[in-house]
Amino acid sequence: MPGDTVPLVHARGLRRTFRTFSRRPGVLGAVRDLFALGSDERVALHGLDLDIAAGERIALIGPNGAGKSTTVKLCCGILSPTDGTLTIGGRRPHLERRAHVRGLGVVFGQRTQLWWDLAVREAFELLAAIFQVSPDDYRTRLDELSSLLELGPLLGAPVRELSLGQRMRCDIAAALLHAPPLLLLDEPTIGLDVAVKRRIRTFLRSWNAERGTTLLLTTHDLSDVEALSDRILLLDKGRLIFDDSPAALKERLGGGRELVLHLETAPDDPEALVAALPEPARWAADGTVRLALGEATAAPPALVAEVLRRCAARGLSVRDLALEAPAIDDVVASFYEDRGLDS
Amino acid sequence: MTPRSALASLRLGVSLLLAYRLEVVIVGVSASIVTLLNWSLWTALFVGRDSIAGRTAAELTTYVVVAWVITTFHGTRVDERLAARFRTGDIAVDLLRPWSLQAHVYLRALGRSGAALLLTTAPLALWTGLLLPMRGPERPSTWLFFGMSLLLAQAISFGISWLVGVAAFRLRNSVGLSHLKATSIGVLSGALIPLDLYPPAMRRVVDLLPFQGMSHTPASIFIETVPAEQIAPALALQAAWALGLALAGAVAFRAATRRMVVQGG
Repeated sequence: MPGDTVPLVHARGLRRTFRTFSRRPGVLGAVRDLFALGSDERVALHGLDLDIAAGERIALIGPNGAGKSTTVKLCCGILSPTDGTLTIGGRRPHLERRAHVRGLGVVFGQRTQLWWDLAVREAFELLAAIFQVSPDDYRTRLDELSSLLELGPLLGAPVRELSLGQRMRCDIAAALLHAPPLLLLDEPTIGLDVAVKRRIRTFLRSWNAERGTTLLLTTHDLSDVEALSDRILLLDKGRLIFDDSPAALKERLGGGRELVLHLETAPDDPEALVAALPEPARWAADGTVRLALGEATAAPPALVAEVLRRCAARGLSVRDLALEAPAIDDVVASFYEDRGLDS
Repeated sequence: MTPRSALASLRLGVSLLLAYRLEVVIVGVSASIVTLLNWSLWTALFVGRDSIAGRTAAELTTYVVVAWVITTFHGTRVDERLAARFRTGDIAVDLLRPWSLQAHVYLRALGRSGAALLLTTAPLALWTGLLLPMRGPERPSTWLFFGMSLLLAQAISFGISWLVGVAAFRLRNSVGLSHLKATSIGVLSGALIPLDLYPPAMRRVVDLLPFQGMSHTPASIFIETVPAEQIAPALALQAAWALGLALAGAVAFRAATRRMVVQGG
């Protein structure tokens, strides 16, 4: 169609199953296992339909076992689809893996792609040789990456001596040395401290903005999603249950933030207290009062003052206050509950 | 593989060996001990006789020294490393590079061997050559053929280790297979016992296997018990084994990764 661009990632009915083998209990079971193991088929991905345009920033979220890693592996070409089609840049990854990976950068949070025994610079040079990056391009890109990710002092160090945060910065640079149009990040911020996470997010945002590199990341960290994505794919039990912007997700969930009040003493009549508060509130099982804050709730300081005033009016003193944003798993769980009610 | 990435792979092998300098020393010391023991044993066996199975004392003692010294050159831990990458799933990272992993690992092993030649094999050859009465080659051309044979021995060693590493993934057992590899090489390559002393029936079996190309062929060329007209066929046989093992390794690796991609690792 005129004006239409071919999506970078194109999946139709993408399905992946795994066969899991189980051992039967007891001696008799062990003998039977010698001949044939019992096997079950587990569906990791039920017919995924997905188009990703070049330059998009996608966060793939969902609880453990939702199919995130399977999707990433399929995109890498290290897993073949059981059914359906997947093309990336017009290629089917698992069938044309070598050509496919030339245009692909991958970062695994749990695994390094560098060589433990080499200095960072040696590892980069080796990767540049393998990916046939011209010496000029390599120099410019290394300069740029090392200034953005502050790699200067790390280049001479052996990879084995890097801290997790340092290693992750080097791993991200390593994945971008050949300037791939698509960067897959599998839990890139896992185990990192806040400062490193922030630096990595800033870097990825600017890299995407300047180069148009498509980002596809999986994460359990809601702040990653907010900082790094303009589109959220929510997977659950192998199905895509949400595909829209972060704002749309928040809207569906009504903001989701809660103001948590820890009281000095338990109120005699929690129900009456809850009813007297300005926002929808509930008396939680852990002995706290929780006010749900909608996205539209303005001026939380004013709201907090009002809440404190009403508590004081009932002779209750507040020991502590907290604003809690829901963890990604809570978001997914509540989304899933909502969906259950709908259907 | 471009010349640039080939060179990078070779350099990686050198770097990886240099990263474990203590290991280099340990290998050198233990190879020295085995060499000395082997030499003493065979010297003792020749007390009161001129030849065993048609071989002179000078020939056989030189053979056992050379056969063991060159294991420090062609010895490789490719099988252990490859099996570990399959076991930990790091093989996924290797599949995300536009290369032939096998060619890369071969060149890496070759780089490692080159560095080991300078750091372990040459010093070992030097002190054994100076201190132990041995029989050096009489024909200068022997050195050339010996060098070629050594290079092919390294390729055979790599081919066997690569196959063992891939098999370890399929059988989910790497320790047992690596042990089997080490034992087979010790007994069937001539590194411990000269193959010329094997009974004819056993020798016929050994002749059908690739292991003899690792130590027996280069050592026999060195002591010049291979007649001049037999040298070219001996080298050709080594090359054929190196090539055959490389092809089998490529097929096995393809099957193993295909299985991983299709069945999920």
